[in-house]
Amino acid sequence: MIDRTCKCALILLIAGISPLGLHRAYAGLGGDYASVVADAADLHGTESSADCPHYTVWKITADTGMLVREFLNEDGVVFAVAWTGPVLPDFRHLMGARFADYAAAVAALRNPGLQRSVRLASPDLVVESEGHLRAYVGRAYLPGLIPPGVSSSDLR
Amino acid sequence: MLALLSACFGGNGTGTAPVKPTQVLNTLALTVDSGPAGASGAVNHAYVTLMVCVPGQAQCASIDHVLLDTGSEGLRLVRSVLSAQSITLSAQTDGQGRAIEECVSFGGGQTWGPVALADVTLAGESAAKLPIQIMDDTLAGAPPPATCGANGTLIDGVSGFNANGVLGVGVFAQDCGAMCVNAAAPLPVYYGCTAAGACSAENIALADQVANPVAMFAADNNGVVIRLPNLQNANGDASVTGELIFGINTQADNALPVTGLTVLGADAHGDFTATYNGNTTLLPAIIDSGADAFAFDDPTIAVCATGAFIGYYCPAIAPKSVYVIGSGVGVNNASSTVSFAIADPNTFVANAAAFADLAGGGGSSAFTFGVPFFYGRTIYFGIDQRVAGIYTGPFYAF
Repeated sequence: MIDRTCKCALILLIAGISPLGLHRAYAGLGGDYASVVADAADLHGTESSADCPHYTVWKITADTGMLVREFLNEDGVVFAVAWTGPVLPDFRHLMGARFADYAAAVAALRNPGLQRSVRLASPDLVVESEGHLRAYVGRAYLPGLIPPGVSSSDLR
Repeated sequence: MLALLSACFGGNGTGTAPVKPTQVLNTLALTVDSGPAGASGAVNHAYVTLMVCVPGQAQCASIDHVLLDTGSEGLRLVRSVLSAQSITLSAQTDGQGRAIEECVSFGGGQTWGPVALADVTLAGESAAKLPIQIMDDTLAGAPPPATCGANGTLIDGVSGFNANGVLGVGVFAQDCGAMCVNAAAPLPVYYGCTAAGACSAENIALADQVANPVAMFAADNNGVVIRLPNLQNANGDASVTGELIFGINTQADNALPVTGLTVLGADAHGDFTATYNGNTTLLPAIIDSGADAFAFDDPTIAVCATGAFIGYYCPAIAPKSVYVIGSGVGVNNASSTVSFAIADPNTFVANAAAFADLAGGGGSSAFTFGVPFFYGRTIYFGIDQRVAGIYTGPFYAF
């Protein structure tokens, strides 16, 4: 996934998370930086970050080939997550407390199996998820927490 | 065409001509209609009928309304549909005696259920002891792990796909492939489940993975050809019938055209690339009979806010003409411009099952050529590493 968002310098690299990733509930959307670190452990991944005006994006590169980006606002809250990879990430973790809303919206779709490109939009939560085995891509964000001056098109 | 035929049959002259194995019937009716009994109302769903038998026994059943899906690989059948016809297939077990089960994500849900072997026949082609997935709608097997189908997103029943099963004939021979064979951390796709129902993700050898049935035929096993006619009424036909043909360039009925064909090589994900309406952004693209519409992002097109087609595009001025350029990847850099129209689905014929101008996918970062693209075309799907004429898969051609 190409970083075509803000032109920010890469400032930090954390490598070598233990492959034994502890399984515990982490927060994802709505969570904090500690939850980002825990996500990286769970995905068996390395982290890097870029500091942009008004937000920080943490990129987790998992050994499965999955890439997850978590966007934190200036209050340290994750307001967007984006993913691309051969399998889907665990949405219960990535969407945190918003997972139930996502699941309810998806269950209400007609022909959920044929919606290769799913978009669920509410004032509180937007989820765009698509793809097939070997290549999934998508994102989820909290519209109310997008920092001023930041476009949703940056959140990929 | 004639030259091809004589080449196949060994030419003329003295001496013994090579013995050509008997060619089997390799065409299957492909029907777009409103769906199976108990789950109708389908739009742009293309179905086939196939035969499934318990291996080594005379217990067989004909299963209708199996969804044709070029966007996935593998045969998946709803357990309650099989049971209704007295077909019971046992789960495969792994080296530790655990039942092998699988979780696969499709759009808005996951299929969950055991891998089982079945003898499957489509037209005159057959695959014995083919690994398939039982979509476990009755949960007769292990319950899914928490990661699969959480909070009601399992789509194992007939209503999930408006079908009695899914026939995945995409451009690979197995549904997961190498990435599920020896990953350091096994992917959450295949699981070993104990008798107590505890499941953990595990690696699975290629030969044991859910397989593209076509890849396992004795012949005509390098891909498929799909042909659907143009709709009589783009605004809605009650049903449409075309053909699913097994093999590419293996029989008289699946010969590759010498001219006028665009062949788009696919990458290791099964995608080629596309650009939409002159935009420079390269989108991963797929030709997907399991998608009911063209799907792509165009923020200038209004989205239907209400009604049966909520979420699809409702262009203010209909039909709206757009175009997309599909390009092959890898060593193949062929490209083709496809123009198509989008119309407001609320103007479609009520209760019809086939619409030519249906599109959606706002927010997508890919381009999906769904069933509307198939109307009026012959499309070839070449399987990874299989040779078809002068081409080698994976590829899409039209």
